[in-house]
Amino acid sequence: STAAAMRGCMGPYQHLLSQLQRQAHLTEDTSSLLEPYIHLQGLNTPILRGSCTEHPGAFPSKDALRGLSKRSFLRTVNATLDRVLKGLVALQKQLLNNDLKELETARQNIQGIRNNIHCMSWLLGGSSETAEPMQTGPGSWLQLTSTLDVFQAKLEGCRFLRGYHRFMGSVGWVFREWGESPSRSRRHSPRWALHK
Amino acid sequence: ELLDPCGHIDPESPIIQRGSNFTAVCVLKEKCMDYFHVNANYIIWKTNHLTVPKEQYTVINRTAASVTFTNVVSPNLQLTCNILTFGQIEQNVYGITVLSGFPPEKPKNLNCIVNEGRKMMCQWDPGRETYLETNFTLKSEWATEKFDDCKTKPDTPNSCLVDYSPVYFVNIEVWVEAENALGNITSDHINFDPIDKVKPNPPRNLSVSNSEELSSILKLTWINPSINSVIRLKYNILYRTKDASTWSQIPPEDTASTRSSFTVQDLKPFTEYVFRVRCMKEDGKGFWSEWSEDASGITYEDR
Repeated sequence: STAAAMRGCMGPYQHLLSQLQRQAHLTEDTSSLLEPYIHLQGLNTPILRGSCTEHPGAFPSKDALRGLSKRSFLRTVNATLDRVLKGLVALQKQLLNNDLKELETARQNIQGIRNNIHCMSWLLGGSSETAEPMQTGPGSWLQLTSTLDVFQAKLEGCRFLRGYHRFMGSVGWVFREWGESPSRSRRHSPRWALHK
Repeated sequence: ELLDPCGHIDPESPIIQRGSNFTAVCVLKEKCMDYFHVNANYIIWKTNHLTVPKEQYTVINRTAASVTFTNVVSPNLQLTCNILTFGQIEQNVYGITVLSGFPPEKPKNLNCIVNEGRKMMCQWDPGRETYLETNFTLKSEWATEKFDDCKTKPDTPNSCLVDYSPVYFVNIEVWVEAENALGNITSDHINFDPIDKVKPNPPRNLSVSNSEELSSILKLTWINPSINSVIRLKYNILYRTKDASTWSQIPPEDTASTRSSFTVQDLKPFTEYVFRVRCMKEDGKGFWSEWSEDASGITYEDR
């Protein structure tokens, strides 16, 4: 219900946007998850790092995200992060007993971002759940199936996290483009036009 | 068979508000009344082994009699129902404990603190003593998620350490629910971003170095707490000569932004000074860290 959606959502818009920007900045930082994963999984060599590239199409590109309306953008980010959470569960299983505390921190931060997206969607008069978000491309999502050998699974996890951090960087970029008020985005604001 | 109680008292284990009136009823069993040849008129009430004056009794019927107390202030009353048998032997029928106290007051001044690297701790004023077992539960939630209740320990009824790690940049709603046998009540809700409740770890590895060129200055350097990667900091710096007992403070406006060094000027040449530094979030939200360890240094000799 609206009341339930409203409880706990403390605008104003600028405060929430600032929080989302800070969260994106935190989560785009590869030292928050990818780097510890690389070290834990023994992938810390130039060659292996070179193989740890994002799967094309696994995550929405920056340009694709920039082309969305605010509401579609929020829905897309929310849906993508839901899949990231599932990916992190798969990664946790892959790690077996190895402890990667950054994984739990990342999970919590992602939950926090989705909470703020929920509030921002409510602030903008929509919901972050309804309507189809933009689908990511045909690229493989995190497929840690049993067909992969141990090394391939590690590399797959690395590529997934590489994509996740890049995606969060793109999300942060878009949030920084959002204007000071809910209706205008900086790309459409007069001041932005002056700089063209 | 005679170990069976000869009756019972109603209510069984009452908890009443202090200062209120209280009535209990003792009901005798027929078989006991027949065996001891007694009825309700033979009932004697006692509190903490002292006989209650007859004026407070009311014989309700052949098997039951009540006793009434006004303005009960004793926290813990042992009330027994007894019968006088065979003319002079006092036989206990039943006994209860009457507890008295207060319902919880509305918890006030709820506030939370996030000690860097640790979980969030919230504390509040629990209000007056209730004299009863009173449970305080800290509730916390986001718009989209409820967190586990934090139940206080008996010895710390006014604070609770949550069992989840703080997530910065997400507003959380927190409140306290207080409950005992006489009622329950909820504090005001507070809503905040945990980043604004941080108490950073103190700056560490504070070191002092002098300057051969300038005998009136000493340069301080330190390592900032790791929270500095998430928030900008401001500082307080205190200093005194080695033998002085009072500290001087660097003007706060001079240390109002993130840094890991500071040059103190206008010092006396060839004099030992002691320094300490602390930090907090630059915008003043949150709490000051503890002071760093002291560090000292000597200014260079005057030429």
